[in-house]
Amino acid sequence: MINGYPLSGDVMSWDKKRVYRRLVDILGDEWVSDDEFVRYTYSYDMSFVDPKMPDIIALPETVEEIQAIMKMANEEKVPVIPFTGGTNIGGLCIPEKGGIILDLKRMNKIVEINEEMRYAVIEPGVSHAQLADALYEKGLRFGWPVGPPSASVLACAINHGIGHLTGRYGLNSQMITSMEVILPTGELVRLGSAGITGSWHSLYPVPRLDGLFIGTLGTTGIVTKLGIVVSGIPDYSDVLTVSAENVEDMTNYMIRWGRYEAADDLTAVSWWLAQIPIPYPYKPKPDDEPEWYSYSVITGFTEKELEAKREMWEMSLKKEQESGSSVKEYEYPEEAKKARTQLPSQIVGSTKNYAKSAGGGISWPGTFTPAPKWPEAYNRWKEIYIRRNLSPSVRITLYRGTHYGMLRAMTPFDKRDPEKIKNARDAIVEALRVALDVGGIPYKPPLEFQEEIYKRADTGYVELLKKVKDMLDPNNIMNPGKLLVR
Amino acid sequence: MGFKTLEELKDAVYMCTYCGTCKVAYSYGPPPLFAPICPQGNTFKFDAFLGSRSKSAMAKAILNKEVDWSDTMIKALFTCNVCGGCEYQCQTDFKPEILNTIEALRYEAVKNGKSLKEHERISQNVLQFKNPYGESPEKKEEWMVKKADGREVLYFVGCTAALREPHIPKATADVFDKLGIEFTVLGKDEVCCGSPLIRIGQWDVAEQVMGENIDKIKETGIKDVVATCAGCYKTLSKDYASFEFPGYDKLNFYHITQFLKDRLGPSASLGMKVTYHDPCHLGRHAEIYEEPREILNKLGIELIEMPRNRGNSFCCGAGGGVKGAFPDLAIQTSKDRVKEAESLGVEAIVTSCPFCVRNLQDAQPSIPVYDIMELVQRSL
Repeated sequence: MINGYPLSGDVMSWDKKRVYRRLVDILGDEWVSDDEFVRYTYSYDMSFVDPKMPDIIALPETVEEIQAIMKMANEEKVPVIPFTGGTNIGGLCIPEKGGIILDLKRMNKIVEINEEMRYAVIEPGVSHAQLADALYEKGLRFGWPVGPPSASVLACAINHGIGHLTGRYGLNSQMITSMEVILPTGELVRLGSAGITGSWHSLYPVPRLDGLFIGTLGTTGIVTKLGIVVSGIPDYSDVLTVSAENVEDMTNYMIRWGRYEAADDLTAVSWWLAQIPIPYPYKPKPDDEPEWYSYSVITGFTEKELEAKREMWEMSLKKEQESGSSVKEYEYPEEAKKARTQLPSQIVGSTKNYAKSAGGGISWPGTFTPAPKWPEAYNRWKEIYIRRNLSPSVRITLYRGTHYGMLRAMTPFDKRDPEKIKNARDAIVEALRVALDVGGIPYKPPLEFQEEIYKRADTGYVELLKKVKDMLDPNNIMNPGKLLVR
Repeated sequence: MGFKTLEELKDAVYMCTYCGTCKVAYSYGPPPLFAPICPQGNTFKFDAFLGSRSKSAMAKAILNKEVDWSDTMIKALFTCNVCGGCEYQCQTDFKPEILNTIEALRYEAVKNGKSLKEHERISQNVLQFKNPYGESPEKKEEWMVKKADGREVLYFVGCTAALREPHIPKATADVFDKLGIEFTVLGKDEVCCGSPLIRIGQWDVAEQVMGENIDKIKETGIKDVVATCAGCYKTLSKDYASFEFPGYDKLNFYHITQFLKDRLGPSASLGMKVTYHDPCHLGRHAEIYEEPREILNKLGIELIEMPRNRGNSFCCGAGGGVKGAFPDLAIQTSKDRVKEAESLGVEAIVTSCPFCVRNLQDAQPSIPVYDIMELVQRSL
């Protein structure tokens, strides 16, 4: 039993003692453990995903060590699960079939920051806090997510995580410039310009093989170095804030204003997500308060650039109001504005505003959904959540223009009570089906989400995915079961 | 009242979301600060050793009877310095109970026969000799150059200062004399404050000595009690407060930096350039950050801050029973801190805790380590 749950999963058969010895031969006994408590600390995360025990934890420091481990794991047919901060909320590092967790935190070097070409090369153990500290010295920034500062930059990027520059640059995965990967069979591969000339500046114009390792949840290889775009920190910034009475008005405002692609971040949150912490269990919104709030972070390298962006925003707002929209300027508290601009942040990243007092659990139906469909999805989500006594604490964010964006509901729950965990899980999965109905797709999906994806996915896509997985990982040892197709 | 048991802390433990914010020191700034903050995690690396989320996991494992005590688990529990570096980062409702949870886990381990032999020796020493070092009680008066029988202030010297760093009470007594502050001490009757016992889970002995101390303090009839030891101060002012000792609420406890801050006038400038190490017990645990700095400023000392300062101070490595049971680890952590100080190009490291002084010195720094009272003495 772990956290009150039975150990589940189709555990693969392999010789644990021999694998342990072979790991010690590669890493030394200091960096290998099969202690029950050590394994326990890697058996669960924040989410509703049932805990499952790994068999061995190993902490490699070099590419050569990982290559040796992968070759050994193939011989022994033992599962390997890459792990960095352990901070995702989709159970992505919880082993479905036991095996070795490769904790990559010792690989924490910032290999290069190229100020002129504006890219950085990092190892998997580099945290957002570490990179923010190093980039700031050079007047540079990256897309900092609403996650703990200790979370891995690399893991966030290769799993389609988002940062605070999504309005401007898109997902953090869209900021990847090159990649070094160890294949499940142990070969070392460099992709993008790094694979051709040794320079880490771009994924183009060569074939985009990096896609084999992005969004695959650690099931196709271990990314050991990542090139990412970094950009200059603008001298001027402002946070433009509005409210709206309903999701339809808020969505229309965001689509109109988003067309200019002028904001670094264009996000709106429902009343329940604007509360600190999210009301748990559900409580009604006061009638006299707006249901939606939005912030747009605009930046400029000159005052005139900032002013021009502000002018575009005012124009957008005016046009919406002329069309009868309830959207209007709304002053955010100063602390709330800081939380939008002062990233990485312990406060927003530590789930303080999400789950401060709920009982340890936090999950989401996190999706990339066509923006025009946000209202339909939100209104159905609201019904589902309130019916289940959960707050519809929803966020919508536009990515790089207006065609689609994030739609998710942060869902705190009480881990002391299995019934409450189940209630949250059921609400989230039900909400996910709604998102899929309107064209949304979940990101960083736990298995429950993937089941829903594959019910609807094109057969050719699924078969190709299987072929790719089989080609790269013939013994199915990389995080087996996590992508569900194998 | 009294110490909270693990069962009583269960709800708080479940407020940990396992988010991992506790793993590193970070502040937005600008400029941003990133640095390791967990001494044991910095050394052993496994998540089972890192930050408060590892301790919430341990608490859940024990409370739910999901994992048996193992040697590794005991190591993960007792190599923690209980420094509070993780607690300072935490933003959830687990935060106020993190240190209590670690100490309750240790009590649970001790109850289950899993105490460390080095810690048992500390406990036996306190029972027999009234100090953790096993020295005769009379030795606690050896630092004294003359009788102290003032009625204004009771100076609670503490075991480490009296028995291992006697230059600190000597300097303090001299400062009291020069400032005309009439003080007394308990001398050979002073009993260990209980701090090391509380941190290592030896609660039964701790409660005994706490009661003895309060009785001895009350017998003097003096209301104002001043400590130079950060650990003694934290224990007397915070831990004792959770017990209903009769007459405790009539007593006032001060750390020496609080007590002297407004009593020191302008002095001749010492003209030094130093850095200040915030002791965990004084800084994070008692939130006394500015008083020592104000005193250094009054002494005409240029203070260069280490990157990890105040709430983000990196532990010297001694606390939580680590120096007693894992001396090599304590020195390794101390070397990390000393390196940070040395990189600033300062003349000395100043702190305000005898245990920190001792452990920082044990790292053999290239610059001297002073207790703040030594510099105050020098200025008068």
